[in-house]
Amino acid sequence: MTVLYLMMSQKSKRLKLNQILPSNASELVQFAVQSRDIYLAIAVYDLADQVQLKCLQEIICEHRRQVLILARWEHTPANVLNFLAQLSDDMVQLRIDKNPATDGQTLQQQYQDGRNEKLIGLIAQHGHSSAEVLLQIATMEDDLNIIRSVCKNPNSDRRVLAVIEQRFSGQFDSEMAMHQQCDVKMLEIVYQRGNAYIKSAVITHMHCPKSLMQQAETEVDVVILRHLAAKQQLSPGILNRLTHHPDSSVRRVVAANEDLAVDNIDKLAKDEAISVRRAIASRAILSPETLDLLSHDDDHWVKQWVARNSSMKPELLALLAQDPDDELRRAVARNRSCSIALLEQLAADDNAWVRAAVAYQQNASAEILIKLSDDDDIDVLAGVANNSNTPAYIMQKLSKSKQDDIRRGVILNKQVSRQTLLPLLQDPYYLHRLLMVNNKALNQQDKWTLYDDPDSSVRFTVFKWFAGNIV
Amino acid sequence: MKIMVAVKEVTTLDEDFEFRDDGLDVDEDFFLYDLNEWDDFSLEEAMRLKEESDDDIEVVVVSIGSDQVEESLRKCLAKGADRAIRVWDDAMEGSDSIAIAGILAAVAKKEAPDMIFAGVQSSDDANGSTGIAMAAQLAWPHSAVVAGLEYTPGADKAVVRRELEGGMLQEVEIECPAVLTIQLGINTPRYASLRGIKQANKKEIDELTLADLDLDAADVGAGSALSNIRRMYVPEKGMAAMIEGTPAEQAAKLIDIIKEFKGE
Repeated sequence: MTVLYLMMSQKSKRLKLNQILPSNASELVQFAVQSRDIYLAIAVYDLADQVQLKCLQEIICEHRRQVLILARWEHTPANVLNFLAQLSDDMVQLRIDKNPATDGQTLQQQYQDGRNEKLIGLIAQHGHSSAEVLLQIATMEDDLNIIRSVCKNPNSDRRVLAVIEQRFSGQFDSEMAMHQQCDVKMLEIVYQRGNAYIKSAVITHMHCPKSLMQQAETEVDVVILRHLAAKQQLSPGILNRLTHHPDSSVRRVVAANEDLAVDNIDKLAKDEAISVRRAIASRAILSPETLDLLSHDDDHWVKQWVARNSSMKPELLALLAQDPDDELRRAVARNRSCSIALLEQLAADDNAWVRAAVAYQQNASAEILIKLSDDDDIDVLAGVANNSNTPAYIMQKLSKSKQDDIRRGVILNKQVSRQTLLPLLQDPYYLHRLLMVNNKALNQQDKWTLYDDPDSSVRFTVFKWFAGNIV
Repeated sequence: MKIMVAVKEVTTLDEDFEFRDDGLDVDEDFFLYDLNEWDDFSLEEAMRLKEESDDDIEVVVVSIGSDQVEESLRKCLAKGADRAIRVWDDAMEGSDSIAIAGILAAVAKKEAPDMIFAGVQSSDDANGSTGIAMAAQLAWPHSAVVAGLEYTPGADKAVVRRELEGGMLQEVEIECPAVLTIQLGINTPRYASLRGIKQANKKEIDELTLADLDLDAADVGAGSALSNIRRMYVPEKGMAAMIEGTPAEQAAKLIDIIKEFKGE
């Protein structure tokens, strides 16, 4: 039987390991146990039976350094963090409470264990803290920073917000107004006692009642009107009124409103404020007349926006493709309606950034991409490598490039073949090997060749993938 | 032709850590180890000369430390260094950068390289003195913060571009052999190939002690240090305030602060 040596830990311990692909979960876990590699141990943790689990836990806890590293690592599985949370080590606890992968159950346990204010603050802002824990914190804690964190936490529900309102009335109106769980009744209370900013936040809230919208229509404060102008389903009358508002920041927001009537779009396309015309130019749907008008605007951002618009007439795109502004020609090259003839023209552009846009274009033909594959610019070649229309023999050539960005383009290409990818399993850049683990063009045996990769994150990803696919 | 590259395995820290009981350093459990970033560029510069030359050039990496530093030395071997030397003796514990320079100078006398590269500084201790002190002990010419190098291996002179304040470069002709401390950005360090890593794992690392270098224990270690650490601590943080409120309110407050700073 062939054996390989697996380099493990920083102390250069070596173990003989069977290199044959495990056929089931138990064999995979057994492999991890024999390796005594912490990254393999945590990757298969959820698959282990009781006996194996004990072995894995021993490996994980062998050195405090390793425990501290795992407690902080954002890829450490939640069940491993749950196990580590049971260790009585304050620094480990701190790292677990900061770790975004820690689950709600662990956080609940952490809070019940009565930790210090710093840890409670971390639990209050953690994205996996449950509404129940947040309710307990809102009820029991007095520190205003902790309560503010609870109020900002999206997992806080209406009960939590109600407790905060009851205990700290008026102190967290900004956070209440922005919280998606804030109900109509609370929004009404907050609106009535709030300043212009709080009223604005209430207006943009998804649960904002019509009565408050109507009240906002009577406001004169620009901040409130600007937020109102962004709302969907405003009456045509109020939209029309805001279109004529003297403050350009209000008109700019109206210009981006999807419900804006065609005649108002045409009107704002001629607005004196550049920011308003830019907002109009960025709309996905514009009439041919408006596109024509904006194509001749003095502002290059306005022209760039319309150059990306897929409804642009070919003759207008051709006109913009001759503009001296590099960014404008690049925008044309990125337009999905750009013709092959225009792409051919832009593929010969003096500016490499323009040629790169052609190389990334999904409409670029194989002929164009073959020509661009002789380019010497890294961005252009990375685009060719990434483009699914690139012929296989070009991709093979690019897969041997010394430039990381170009090889990465090949790895990320949706049409890349297994044959092209196989040599890249030996790529010197660890991130490329890591990307290969989830590539569907490679089979299990191909991926298993990475089991003894020198990089711990690659080994972890390989074993995590097998843990999810071997069962 | 031989180029010696002095490298160091540095420690890095996460944001939460504890100090040792004696308060002189961070608890070892919180250390993460890596090859000093500057040394990665030094090694790459040596590899560039080796690969561009028609002559045989041997690149020898040297590090001082316990068996932990072997990891960094193997990284250098994986990237193409021909040989690695680890120097250690328990008496070296607590050596300051001048003593470390003395040990490296002793290795240089033994190895007789034609050029020595070191990083401008190490990212953990940041003394920036080891390379230059080594040159002084060898009585070799030296040049610090080298951001560009024109050198034909075997030539008796090299031209270096030194990085100065204000984005200026200073072009200097230097006699060789010399010690150059290499600045970040002088080249693009390579990644080690998997084949290189596997081969490096099989290579022997030469180990030298004080006796091998004809050095005395009194010349190294904490006792010989010209400066001693009194304590290590995190200073109290300065004044900072979170800008609270809705995004529009935060933006308005930020504008007010900027205007205030501009005196408007």
